[in-house]
Amino acid sequence: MTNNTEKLPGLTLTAKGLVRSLSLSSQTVPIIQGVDLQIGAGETCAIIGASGSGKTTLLGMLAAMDEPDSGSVEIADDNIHYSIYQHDEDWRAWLRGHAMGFVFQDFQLVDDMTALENVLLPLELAGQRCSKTAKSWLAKVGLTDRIRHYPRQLSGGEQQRVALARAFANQPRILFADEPTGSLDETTGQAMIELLFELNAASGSTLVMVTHDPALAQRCDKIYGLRQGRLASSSEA
Amino acid sequence: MTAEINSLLQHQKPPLISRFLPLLASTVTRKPSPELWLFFLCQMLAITIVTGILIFTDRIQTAIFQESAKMMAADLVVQSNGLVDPAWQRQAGLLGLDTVQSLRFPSMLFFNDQLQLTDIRAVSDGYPLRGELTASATLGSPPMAQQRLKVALPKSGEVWLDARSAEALGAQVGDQIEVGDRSLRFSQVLVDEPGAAIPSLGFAGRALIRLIDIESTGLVVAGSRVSYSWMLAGEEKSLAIMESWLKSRLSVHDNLVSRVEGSQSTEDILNRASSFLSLGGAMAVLLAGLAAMISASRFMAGQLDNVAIMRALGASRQQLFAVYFSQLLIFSLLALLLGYSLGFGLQSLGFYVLQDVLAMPSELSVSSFIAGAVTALFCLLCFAVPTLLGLIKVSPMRLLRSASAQASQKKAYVVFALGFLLLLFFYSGSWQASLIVYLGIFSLAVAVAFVSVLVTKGLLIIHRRQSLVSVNLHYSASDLSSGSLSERSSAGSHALTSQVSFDRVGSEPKPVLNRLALRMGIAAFCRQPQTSQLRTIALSLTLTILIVIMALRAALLADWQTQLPPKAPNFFAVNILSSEVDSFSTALQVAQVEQQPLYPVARARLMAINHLSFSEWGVTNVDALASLEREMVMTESSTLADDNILFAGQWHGDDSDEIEVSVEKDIADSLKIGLDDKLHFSFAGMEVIARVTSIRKLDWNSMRPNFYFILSPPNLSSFPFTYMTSFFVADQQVAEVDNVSRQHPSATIINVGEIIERAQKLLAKVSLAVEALAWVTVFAGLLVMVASLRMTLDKRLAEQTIFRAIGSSASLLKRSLWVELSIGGLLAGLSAVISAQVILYSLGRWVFDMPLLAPLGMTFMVVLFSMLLVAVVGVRVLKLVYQLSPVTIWRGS
Repeated sequence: MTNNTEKLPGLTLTAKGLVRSLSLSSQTVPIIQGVDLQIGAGETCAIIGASGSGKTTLLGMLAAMDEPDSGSVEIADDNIHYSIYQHDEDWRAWLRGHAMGFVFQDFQLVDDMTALENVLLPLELAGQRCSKTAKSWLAKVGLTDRIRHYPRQLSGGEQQRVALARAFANQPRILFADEPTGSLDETTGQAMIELLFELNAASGSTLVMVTHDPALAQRCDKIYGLRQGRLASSSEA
Repeated sequence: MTAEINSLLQHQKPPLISRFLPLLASTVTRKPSPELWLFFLCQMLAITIVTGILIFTDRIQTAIFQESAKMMAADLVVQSNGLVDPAWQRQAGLLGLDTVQSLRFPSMLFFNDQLQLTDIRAVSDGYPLRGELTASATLGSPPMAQQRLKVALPKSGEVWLDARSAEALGAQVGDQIEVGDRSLRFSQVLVDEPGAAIPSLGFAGRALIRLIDIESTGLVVAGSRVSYSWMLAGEEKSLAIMESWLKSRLSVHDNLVSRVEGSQSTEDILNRASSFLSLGGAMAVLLAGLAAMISASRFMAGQLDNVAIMRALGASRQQLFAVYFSQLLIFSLLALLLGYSLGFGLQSLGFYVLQDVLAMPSELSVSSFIAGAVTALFCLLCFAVPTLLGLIKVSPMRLLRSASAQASQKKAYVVFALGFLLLLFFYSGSWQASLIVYLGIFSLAVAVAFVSVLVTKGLLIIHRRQSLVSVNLHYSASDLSSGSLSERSSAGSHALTSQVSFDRVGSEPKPVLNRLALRMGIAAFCRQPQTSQLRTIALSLTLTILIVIMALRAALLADWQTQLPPKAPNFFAVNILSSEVDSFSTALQVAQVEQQPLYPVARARLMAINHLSFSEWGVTNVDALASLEREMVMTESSTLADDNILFAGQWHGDDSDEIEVSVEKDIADSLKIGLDDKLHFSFAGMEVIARVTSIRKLDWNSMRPNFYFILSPPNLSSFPFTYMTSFFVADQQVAEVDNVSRQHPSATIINVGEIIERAQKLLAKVSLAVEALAWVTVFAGLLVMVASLRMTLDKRLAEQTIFRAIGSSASLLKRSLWVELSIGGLLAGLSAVISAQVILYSLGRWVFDMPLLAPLGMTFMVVLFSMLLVAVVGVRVLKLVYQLSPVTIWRGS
């Protein structure tokens, strides 16, 4: 994250040979079985697949949240590559806070924080308390009059807009979205997607989105199809 | 960006404090969760108990020492047969101690034709070093404290007489009194002096003169019966150095009396009370700590999603630890401050209760407050931090996958158990004592848990049988197998089937509703025996202690009074001269006072056993060795007293050719004395060797003259001896006994009944403090209950939505909650009663040697109290379960 308002280019994201399995009691279940992908700077990318295909697990590994059993995830900036999982969790946390943004299916707002406090949270974690920035992002998502409201006092659509404002507050250079419309009705979901793409285009960040909606995936520059933990298809617009 | 990532790789992160302060600021300004308040309350309770008890016991000890010092007129006294060695005086001067020399002896005073035997005390400047004299200007005028007197002590050439002596002599202030060869001016009326505070009745009159006048009176010559006291007072450290310095230099006829020995009997009572308080306090701290841990862990559980969000948004583990730890620390500091205040208030309340038996000292020990702070730190580090360390490891993947499983609490419980042991060690400073208390509490908890599990199992069996019966009687098969309910677990479906039945009878009258509530409550209780077990054990543990303390208190206080036979002696008479034995007995007969036999007594010290010193003989018992440092009262008798039972050997009678001695069994055991052993006694420097020919058992509580050693007669006649006896004096006879005392001024008559009454009053008050602590422990148990009930809240709310959705009313939910919680309370009460009765029976059988059981009324009340307490508090704690609408819960509000 930078403190100036200059638009920064998105990051390139590359995954090579990602493998991830889960231990369930005495059994090991493979979830991701050797996935390679590359997303260019500023590109929008959708990962699609049926339930249980491993979309979310893959997103977690790409988003520096979940360490793969093997393989690597790299981010690149000006042709300098950083292998995310060669660094410790503190480094990855810093990366998430300063270069990444997240939009979750269930919004994941902190219940006992107001809309403004939720948007302020990533700024505070980065060591700054800039309510002006937070308010401006809430204004961009059309919630100027709801900044003092708690998540429980907001509708689903409003909560997801707060989540969007929070995701962009730190000017991320790569944005991850996990089924961003999964908890919303069609109309609200559509409006939310418009807003997401609009804000993403304005910020120039790279967008990685998990969805099971083919129509939504079609709006992205690149689509990766996942089946039983393997890449089944990939296409570019 | 590149530059930023590079800076991170080169460890150029901004300081942690700048990254967590804004977050902390926004965290602490938000309304804290109820769990955090509960954590705060538990911690505060632990600090209050620790600080309160430590200040209380510490100040009690100071008060006893101060009282003892006042009675001794000094902090340390060396009683001897002569004036103090100048080298000792120099050593005291080097240590900065104040000293006073005092002589005390009985002598006749003369005025005109009257004479009066008087206890004369001759003192040097500065007397008394502790406590205060009171005197009055003339006979009958009001007494004045020493500080207000124009002259603090009699001047050289003056004597202060007490009213009794003055009246007996017919003297007035200003008269010249003959004291030996000197004529001294009676200048003030002596009212009270330190040491005269022991309740006594009648005694020879008292007189106070200056030490420098002694020589000119000619009363103190070689062979005179004079007690020399060298008194010291000063700083605690200097006194301790002086005491150890003196111990190696004392001769066998010197006696060192410190404030500790001077207050032994009172201290014994209070030491036991302190032990009870410490044990009860440890128990309360344990329970408060447990409740703190449960509430902290629930607080942390509630933060799992928030932490995952923050981690996803870039928070490092250190950042999160710093934020949450700071938040807990702030609450701990608040708890510490409030705990200090409440603890101080608690001990003040204790002293308020004790005010008529003990004066509250102004000194306040810092160590009590340090202990409070350490308790707060322990609560934080051992009871909250382990859970916090688990919390900050939560993966942000939790947000993507619905991983709601909570980390196991096993580690936290292990840290808690070890932390509590460390805390006990900190309080006691001894691993042995800590382990005893620790294992004691653990054993008690296991015993109560065992009883509690048995009662629960019993209830479950009864419930299952009743369920089958009631199902057969009242419900059709279709009721039980309807819809999706059959897919649920048997226990869960059972509760739900009850609910389905309610749907069918929704419009039926209240008894049906109550019956359903009863069935639902029992089913709910049986569904979660494990979670309810913890609170049942915690509460029944505290109730067990409460019953034991209440029953013990009632039994022991009553026993003290009832154990004594009617007309047990309540007065002791000592220093009866041989020449006055007959007249003394006759005077008591005239006053219709029935006396015990008169015993000739002399002071002696046991010096060796079979020509060997005690260490050579192998005496290791510390108490026994300490008792040997003092002179003891010896007697001779040809007859064995009624209440003495011959345990071994043969009673010596009165026709022995050699010196024989009969030894009391307890001291014989502790000194490893057996029949035919030779005991070496020193009577005023003269050695007497006696052969042990019998060992006796006796009852020290009989209020009769009792002796460790009884010589065969006639062996005391060659040493200075007097007589002693005891007798019962009814209230209306006190004046007549006073007359007897006047007629025999050399005799000392002590009202032992008054001393016992005072001790008993002290015991009653202190035991009240112990009982009050037991109630505090119950409160701590209640906190565990509240914390553990809150742990079940989420699950209950989830169930509630299902119950409400299928037609249950809020009223039915509330009633079933009453039933469920009352069963828990009943269980805790019953377990406590059973455990307490077993403990009481064991104590009565093996410790107190008397039948001991809690009265039926008390046990009934405790069970009722337990049921009501759990139900009332529980229904209040879980009010959301019946107050919230299902829609509100679904919306996640």
